[in-house]
Amino acid sequence: MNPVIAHLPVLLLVLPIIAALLILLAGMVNRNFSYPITLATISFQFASSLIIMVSVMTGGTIHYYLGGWAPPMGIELVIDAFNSYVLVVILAMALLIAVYARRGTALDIPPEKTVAFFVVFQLLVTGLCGMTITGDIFNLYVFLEIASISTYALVASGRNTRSLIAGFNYLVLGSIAAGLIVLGIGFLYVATGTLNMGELAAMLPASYGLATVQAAFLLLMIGFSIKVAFFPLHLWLPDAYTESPSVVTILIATATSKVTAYAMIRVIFSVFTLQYITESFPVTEMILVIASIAIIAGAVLAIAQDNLKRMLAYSSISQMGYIMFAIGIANQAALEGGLLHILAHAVMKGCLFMVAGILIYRTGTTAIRQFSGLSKTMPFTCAAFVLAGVSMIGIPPTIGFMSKYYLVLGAVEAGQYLAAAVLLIGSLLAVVYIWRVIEIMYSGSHQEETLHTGAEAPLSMLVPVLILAASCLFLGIFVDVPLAIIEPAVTLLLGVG
Amino acid sequence: MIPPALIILAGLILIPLFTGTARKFWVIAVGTGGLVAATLAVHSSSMWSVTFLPGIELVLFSVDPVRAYAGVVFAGAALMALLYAIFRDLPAFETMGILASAGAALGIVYAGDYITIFIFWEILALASLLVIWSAPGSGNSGFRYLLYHIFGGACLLSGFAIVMADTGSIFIGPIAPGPGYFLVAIGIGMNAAFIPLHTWVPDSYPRASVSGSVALSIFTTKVAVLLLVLIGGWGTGLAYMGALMALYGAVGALLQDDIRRLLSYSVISQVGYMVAAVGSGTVTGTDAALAHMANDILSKALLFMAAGAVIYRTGISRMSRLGGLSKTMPLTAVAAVIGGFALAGIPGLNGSASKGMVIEAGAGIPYLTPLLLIVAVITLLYVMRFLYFVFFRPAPDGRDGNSDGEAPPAMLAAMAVTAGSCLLFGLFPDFLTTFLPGGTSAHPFSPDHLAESAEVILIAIFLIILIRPLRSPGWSFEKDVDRFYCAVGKAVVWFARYPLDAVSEAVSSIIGWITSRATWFSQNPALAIRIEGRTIALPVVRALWDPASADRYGATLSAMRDLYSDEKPGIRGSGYGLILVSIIAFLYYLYGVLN
Amino acid sequence: MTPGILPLLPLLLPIAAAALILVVGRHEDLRESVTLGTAGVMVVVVLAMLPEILEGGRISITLLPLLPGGDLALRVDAFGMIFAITASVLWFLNSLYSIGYMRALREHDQTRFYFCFAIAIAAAMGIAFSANLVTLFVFYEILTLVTYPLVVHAGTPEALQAGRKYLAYLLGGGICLLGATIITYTLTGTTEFIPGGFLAGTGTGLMLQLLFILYMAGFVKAAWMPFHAWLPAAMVAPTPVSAFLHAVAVVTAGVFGVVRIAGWVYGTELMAVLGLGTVLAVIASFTIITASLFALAEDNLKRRLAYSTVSQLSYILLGVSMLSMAGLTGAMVHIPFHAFLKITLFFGAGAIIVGSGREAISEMRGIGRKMPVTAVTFAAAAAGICGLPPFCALISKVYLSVGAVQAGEVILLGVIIASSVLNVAYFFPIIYTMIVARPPDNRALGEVREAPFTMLIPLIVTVAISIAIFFFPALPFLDLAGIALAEITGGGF
Repeated sequence: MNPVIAHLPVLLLVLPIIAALLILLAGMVNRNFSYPITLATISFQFASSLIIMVSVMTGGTIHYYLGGWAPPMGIELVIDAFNSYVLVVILAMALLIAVYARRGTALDIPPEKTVAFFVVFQLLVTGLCGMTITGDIFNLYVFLEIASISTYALVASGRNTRSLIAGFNYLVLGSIAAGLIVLGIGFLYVATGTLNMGELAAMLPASYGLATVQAAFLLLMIGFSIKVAFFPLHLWLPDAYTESPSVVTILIATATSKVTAYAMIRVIFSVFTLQYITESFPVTEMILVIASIAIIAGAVLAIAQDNLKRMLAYSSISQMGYIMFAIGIANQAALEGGLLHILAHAVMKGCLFMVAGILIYRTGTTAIRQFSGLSKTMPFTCAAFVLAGVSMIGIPPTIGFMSKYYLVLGAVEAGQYLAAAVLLIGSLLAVVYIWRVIEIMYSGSHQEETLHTGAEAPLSMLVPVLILAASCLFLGIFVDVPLAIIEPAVTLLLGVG
Repeated sequence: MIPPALIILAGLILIPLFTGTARKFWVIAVGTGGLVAATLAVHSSSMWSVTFLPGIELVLFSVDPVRAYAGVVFAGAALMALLYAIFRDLPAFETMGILASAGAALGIVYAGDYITIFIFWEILALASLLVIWSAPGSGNSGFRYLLYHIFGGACLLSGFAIVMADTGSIFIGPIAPGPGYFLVAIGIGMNAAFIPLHTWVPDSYPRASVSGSVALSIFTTKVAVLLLVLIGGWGTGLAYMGALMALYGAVGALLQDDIRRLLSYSVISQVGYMVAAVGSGTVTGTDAALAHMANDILSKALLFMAAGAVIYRTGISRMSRLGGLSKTMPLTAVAAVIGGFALAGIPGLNGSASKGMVIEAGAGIPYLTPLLLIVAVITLLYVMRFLYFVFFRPAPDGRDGNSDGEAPPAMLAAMAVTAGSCLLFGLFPDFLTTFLPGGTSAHPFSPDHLAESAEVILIAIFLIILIRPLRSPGWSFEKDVDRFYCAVGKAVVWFARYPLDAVSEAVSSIIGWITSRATWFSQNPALAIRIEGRTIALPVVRALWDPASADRYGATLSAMRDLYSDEKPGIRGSGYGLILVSIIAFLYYLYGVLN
Repeated sequence: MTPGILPLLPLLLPIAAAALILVVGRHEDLRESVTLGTAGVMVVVVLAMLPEILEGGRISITLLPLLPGGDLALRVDAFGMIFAITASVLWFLNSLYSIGYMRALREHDQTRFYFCFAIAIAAAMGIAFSANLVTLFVFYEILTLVTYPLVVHAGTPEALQAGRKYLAYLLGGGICLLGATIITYTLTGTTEFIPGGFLAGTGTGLMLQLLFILYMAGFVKAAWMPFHAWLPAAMVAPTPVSAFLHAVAVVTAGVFGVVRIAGWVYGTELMAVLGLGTVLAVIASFTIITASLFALAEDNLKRRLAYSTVSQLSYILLGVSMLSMAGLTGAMVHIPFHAFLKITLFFGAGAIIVGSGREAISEMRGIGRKMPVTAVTFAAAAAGICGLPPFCALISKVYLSVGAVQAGEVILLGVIIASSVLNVAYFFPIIYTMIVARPPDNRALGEVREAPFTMLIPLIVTVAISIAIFFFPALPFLDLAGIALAEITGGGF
């Protein structure tokens, strides 16, 4: 195949880094240049990710050796069905967010900071891409740190001081997690003498018995649990989501969390194997229990919030529980559900947070009780919220329902009826917290006049929202499209690899 | 060959189109048409059947001797009632009701299968309800009437269902003992006023309008008797039920002061005769029942007509306040006397003929004849009370009754026709008996029968002379078992209104409480737990600490409570995080070790 | 099993109509004519499928591969046809009625109202024609969701409260149904409705019994007690909505589902073996009696009607529980029969609200003097619901009675008798108050007037239909029921 496509994987990482510098320089000249460049770069990344996915689906897994150095010497980029899929998802989100960001940043990013903002934004996206496509576990850690550090910065970039504190908390916990992860990687290196995931997977079975390996697994497990805010290690999440600028919230809620989830699954299933987590060091049961708690607790806490963003944050905790739930069940159907839910949650939570951002942009508040009668003045935004919310609840034929269906199916096939019930109850709780908002939005017209200026959102913010809302529906109806890539991915994870 | 029911039902649909005199003529025309059709039906052998449900042929119209005879009787009676009703402008609802009940009755007469019968049975109930409700102030009794008859109808349907499932046929025939038998018996018994299902008769008939009660007295009970005849094979139990009805009704009639209540009990009593005859199970019994059915329709209708005329003219329905009407309403008085004596079975009037037949038919069954003779005596007693107090005694407080003249001509015409046929069938019973399916003939003038009547009359007169109260008006005993039914009904309503409602309220409120508490708790679990903990600890603190600090403790608690509602989960330091991390790590490790 | 595009039309037409309604929302006449036109066409389309079905044929079409265990597939069979005909015909009448109603009361947000209506009927059609459990579930949930805005149409606090209740019960039921569907799939590897059922021989008896309970919980739309509270609560909605909930689609969908499960998933033999008939019989009997008692104590007309619906629906469950030929026939035909009568009653209640603004029965003394058509039609339908001639419900009552005997459950006859009496006990006082009783004083009926004729026409038509069915019961419902029964019982017991 032609050289450009052959080198796409590395271009995917190198170009954006250059682009980040470019943004900085251009921004120094004129701060208005920075945005278009970001947009261009991310669109490029998205396009190339699509190409990569296609070639993966046709040509199978792509191995790319940086500088031609084969492992264990060099660093390897491995792109298989799983991460090509994740790559497309996060880049699609990133693109929409970038479109959204033009007006979205206006409110809560001071003008003088915009250049820096977009630089960091670009770096974050790049870091996520790196995490996704690298085949080297230490390299994974490096990109993770790039992403995380940019995230800390972004979270703290808000106007008020609370965002600073939130960012700091995130930094502390994030660093703990990073420490644990790097320790775990170190142990693995000690145990096997390689850092390449493929080789690790090949060598580890020999030394499954070793305490080092167990410790490594444990450390990685906990480290990533913090990163994905897996209950009860979620403490940084609500504040971070609530206090950071809307755009940032959207980005970390959709892209970051998904990639960390990807990394976790990758480590559990590709570095360690299904056989390891079920037999040598059986933790699936434990994960399932915690996930079930997470689903319920997250939803219950979400019900009580009267700040929209905080409510969505807790709902994210609950939804992350769904994905972990898939790991806990660890069979074909459940993992398909989990992977599908990565997409589903990205789409719908992205949509909901974008709506929240629009509401802040228009009304300047996130207090739910002040949204009364919004449906009159912002029909499209509210409609989008309803659609995404319905998908969050899991009403057919939305994407949210499809992932839920697979998860429950997996649970039932595994004979975990109780867990299945928990999942379903979780979705019922989702009704409660989502519907509270919808009710107020649509019934408000009969209450006192509300503060906001009656105007629909600006187009550049509305379009991404509508696209996401529509995809909640259509991805659900034509669910076999994403499944076409998910199924091979899952077989890959559960199979010998 | 057109079924009479069809003519009448079609006719009633057009009622609203006519008004005033036109309506009167139309109604009479319809009635006549029905009668003609019924007479023509006697010799026809045609049969109308339709596919009602897949695989179920309904026989709407089939003729056999019994049906032909009954058809003529009911059609004639209907015409009579209509003739009586036209003394005033016909109210639409009531007239439709009368026609509908006539139509339904004729429908049952010619029906060949259970389902058709059930359908017309329900129509009959509705039609009677229409008649009753057409009179002012009849709401509750009409409602009770309907409840009783819907219950009866449902039982009948259930019974039929059992029979149909057992025999696999929907055609009428004797019913094997079992649940089906009893359900059907209850169903028919409700209409036939079996004791203790009889209470609707005295409850509703007096409340209908004067013309309405005439029509009511004709159809419902007699149709039930006919159905008993058609099904047949009931066993002697039925005969004793008949005797019980006869006795109960007669005694009841004796205890009444309201003339139409009196006649209502008399209906029960006379139907009792018929039921007894059917119960005897013989052909002569059947014939006797049919004959008495016709004769009682005549005499009872005549009495209701007379009573109606009296009430219409005087507006009074109580014997204790009536009197001396023989002067102001001589013709009505004559009619009443004929009707009364016919009812009482005085020889020369139709009643005696068929009563004789019944008693003969019942001869085979122990104790039946004496019972019926006793009833005959009581009947004569209350008939004489009725005639004497209403017409022949000097009016109370001197006034010659309160009537302003003789009954209207239409009433008189109807009474004349009826009285005439009473005499006719009394003097020449063969006119009636020739039509009887069993061909039994009555011989009212046979010496032993005359002797029988004579001794009945003598005993009655003797008693009247002997027992003073029989001669003095004004007592009335209007309580009956329906007090119990009403109590049950009220209890049900009460139960639905209070206990049931309370329970559902309680349940919903509990659920509401739980949900609200859950929401409250999840607003800020940490703080909530602390508040709850402090609340529990409070009494202990009060007990042990010194008052001052205890109060401070309580104060902080209440402060917390006040704060709670608007307490926002602030940004937590990451201290919690570290602790939790180590906990979870330990948990995982523990878990790994355990496995 | 002929493939055909026809089943798709009843779904697509209303959806297209809904879009159109949004577009032309401002021009009322245009909007209403869109609704009416679509409804009319739908009736035609549905009836166009009737001949083939009556010949025992089926029309099927697969839309999408949706999920493991269930493509999004439609299949028209006799039983589905019963529901489809009922819903489409009644939707037409209901639309005509709601035009009169909504305009007379100058309701707000009428565009949203008609939009939701259109989507809802599409969902109902989807339920009627669904070929497997997954499809059924999908449309079932959609129906719940799009009827919610109709229920809370008033937007008042109590309306919202009722709406919450509505969602809580129905979505709660929804997840139970989802669970049941998935369990069924894992047990059998399919969710396709197969006449006579496909669960036999899979799973332990206890498992299947629990599964059935789960299904019952799923079909909480059938409003069986004690899970009925959402139905009376939903009475805050405008009357056309109540009519829609009670007759056209929602509760009908619930009982429809139960019959489907009994006949096409479990199959009568399996039900009998597992003793599920008894379970159902207990539930149904309890509901019939208790709901009637509630109705007896209720003074608000619409709420009393709601309780009457609860009890009538359980007649259908009762018929299913008998698992006998006549019983099932009675259950199947009682779905449309009850629908036609009950919608008349709600039309009547709505006409009274429009004509006099009264909702309490005790305030309706002598109202029939001013609104004769409404009162008489209402009385007729009430008598009909009580199973009196000449109305269709008598037929289902006869069938249910015979079915009870066939099933050897004579005790159920007692339930039928008791409920007949109770029905009369809570319906005829209404008739008396409206027609017979005299108004308290001359000025009492001052402002009362007869409802507009766009509301009276549906009233008369529905009554006429229910009388016509009594005289010609075979067409088409009983025939359809017969075919459906022949399917599930393999041509008779």
